[in-house]
Amino acid sequence: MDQFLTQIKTMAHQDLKDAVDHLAQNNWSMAIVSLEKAYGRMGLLDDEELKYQILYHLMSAYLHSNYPDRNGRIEECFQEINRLKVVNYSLQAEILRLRGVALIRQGKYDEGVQVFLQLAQVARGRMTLLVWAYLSEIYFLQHQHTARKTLNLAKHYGFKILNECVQKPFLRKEKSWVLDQLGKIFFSEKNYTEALPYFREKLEMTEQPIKRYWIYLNMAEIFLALEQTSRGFQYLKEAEGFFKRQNDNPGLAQAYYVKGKYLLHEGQSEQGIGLFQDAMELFHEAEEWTRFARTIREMEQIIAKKDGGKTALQADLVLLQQTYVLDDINF
Amino acid sequence: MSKINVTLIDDRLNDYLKRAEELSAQGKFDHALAFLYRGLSLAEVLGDEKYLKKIKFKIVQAHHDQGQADQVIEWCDLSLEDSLEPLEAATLLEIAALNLMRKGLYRQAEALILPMESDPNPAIQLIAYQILGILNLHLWKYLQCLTLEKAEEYLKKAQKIADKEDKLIQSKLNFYMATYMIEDGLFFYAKEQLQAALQLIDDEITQIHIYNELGRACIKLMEYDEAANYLDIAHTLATKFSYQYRLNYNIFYRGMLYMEHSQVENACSHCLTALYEFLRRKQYPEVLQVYLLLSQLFQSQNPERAASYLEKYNSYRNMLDLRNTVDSDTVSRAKELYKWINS
Repeated sequence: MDQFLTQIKTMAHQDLKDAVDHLAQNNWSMAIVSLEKAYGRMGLLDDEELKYQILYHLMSAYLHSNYPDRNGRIEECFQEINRLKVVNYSLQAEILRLRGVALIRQGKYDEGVQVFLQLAQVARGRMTLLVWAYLSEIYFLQHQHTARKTLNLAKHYGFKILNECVQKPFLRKEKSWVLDQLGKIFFSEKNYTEALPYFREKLEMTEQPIKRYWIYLNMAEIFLALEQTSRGFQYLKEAEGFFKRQNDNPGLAQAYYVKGKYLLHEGQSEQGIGLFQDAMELFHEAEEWTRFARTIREMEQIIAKKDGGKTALQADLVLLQQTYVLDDINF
Repeated sequence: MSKINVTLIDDRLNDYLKRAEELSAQGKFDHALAFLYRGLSLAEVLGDEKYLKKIKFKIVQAHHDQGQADQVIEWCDLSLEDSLEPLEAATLLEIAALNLMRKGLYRQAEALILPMESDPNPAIQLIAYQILGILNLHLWKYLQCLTLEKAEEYLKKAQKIADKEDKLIQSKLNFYMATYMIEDGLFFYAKEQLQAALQLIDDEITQIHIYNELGRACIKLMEYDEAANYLDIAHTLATKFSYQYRLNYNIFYRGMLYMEHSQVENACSHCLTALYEFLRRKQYPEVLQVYLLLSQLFQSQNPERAASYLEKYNSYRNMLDLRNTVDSDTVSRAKELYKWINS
């Protein structure tokens, strides 16, 4: 950002100043207006370095915006960057990351993976771990959304991160993330006994109550899958109570989601779906789009199973971008 | 600035505007907007008022087509600061009013449009009659005001003065009449109006909206096969142009169709998907409709769930009531605007 600021000495300066203010306030739609305006004026100048930076910030602003075709715009900005004769090593990796995330959000897994593999070649230090984390998450999502069996690849990159963390104990945030990720992967392949130790270890290293109760909800899901419902329900009850007392909507939504699963397991499908809907509403209010998308997708699968077929809604959900959501990973 | 520079800017500006136009025609509104913003900055460099007005108007239109009410209102505010011809200003006020209505802010929309009713220019009067017609229809539908007759009166006044030769004006009017007729139970005539509107429009993006409403009219007429057919066409077009805003109405109407076929779960999943998209876009009148439909859907099967949806309906209804008290600021601002347009 500093470098960006120091270059505000062109005829585009007011737009760029505005853009910097909007970016600092996460006001993405106004940042886009200012950046596009600045880029429009840059069309008259030969300052390719500044154009490069504007396009990079545009990619970032589009990624965070709620523009319907934000992913398409990111791709176009990327193509424009490629046409410039500028090499900026400090921004290159970040630009590739933004493009990769946009591709995955459009369900273009193979292309997205290629981008992150390319990124893995140039990444150094902690950035390498971040790229591995993305690859693990992408392979995990690909397994969930497509017919491709990519869970082993998701695990492979997860273990690579874990090995690094074992060797370098100061990588606490990375370790916490990967324990959760590996637990999630094993859970998804129905290897529940294998998943449990990862969540337990994460629980041991977590002190913050909110984070601990989120892990409680993971444990509750595992115990349900292991048919140890009374034990799991205990975790669920404690977490639900905590989130209610704290008025923590995302946590409470997750508790409702897990509770819905318990009720569905007991054959109370109406009440289960009702709780899923409560969860969706709270996720919606909290703008927790990944969880919101997952809940809506799972509910649709339950309904489709009941009706003996797949509903036609799945493709529409993709267009409404409620399905393929890849969150930013931050260590 | 040298002459060469001005020519260069001019060329680049025209290039941006051309790209924006092409992209809009393909339904790529976000991409079009990017080029419009770029063009806007160059028009500012040139200080060319004609260009500035034209671009801002196109920006408003692109946001309007995307269903982005907040952005439309913001840009209308900005555009109204320019010196506009009365008809240009009236058109902007029309778009602003339509977007205030999308958010359920009917009284604010009314305050903007009412002064235009007595304008001597028939084109401005036409805008006023159409918007006031639809506005009174919405007041009746969503806030249970006794304004249905008033809606009909306004739309008939609009019909009287509308240019019969202008296809765009006629199709718009047919569409508004159909909307009124669906609410008044005149489903057959509504279908006729929509079919007539369809004949006048070649643009596939605008057709999506008409096909969707034809589907709705046919559902009301219990012509379910035909409804499915129209909704399928709208769906194909909305998908072709990745037009989320209209696709969401299509999902909602397909939910209504499933409801008629007593496929409760399918109806429910479609309604809920539509609901969350409406909520995300803050389209509160539509949110009300979905909650009402959901409560009807579960009325006999699961009264408890039906009651919870009805409760939601009531809370949003109360919110709309609260949002529709006219504050004196809005009224005086609208009067000022009108005075200024006529000055």
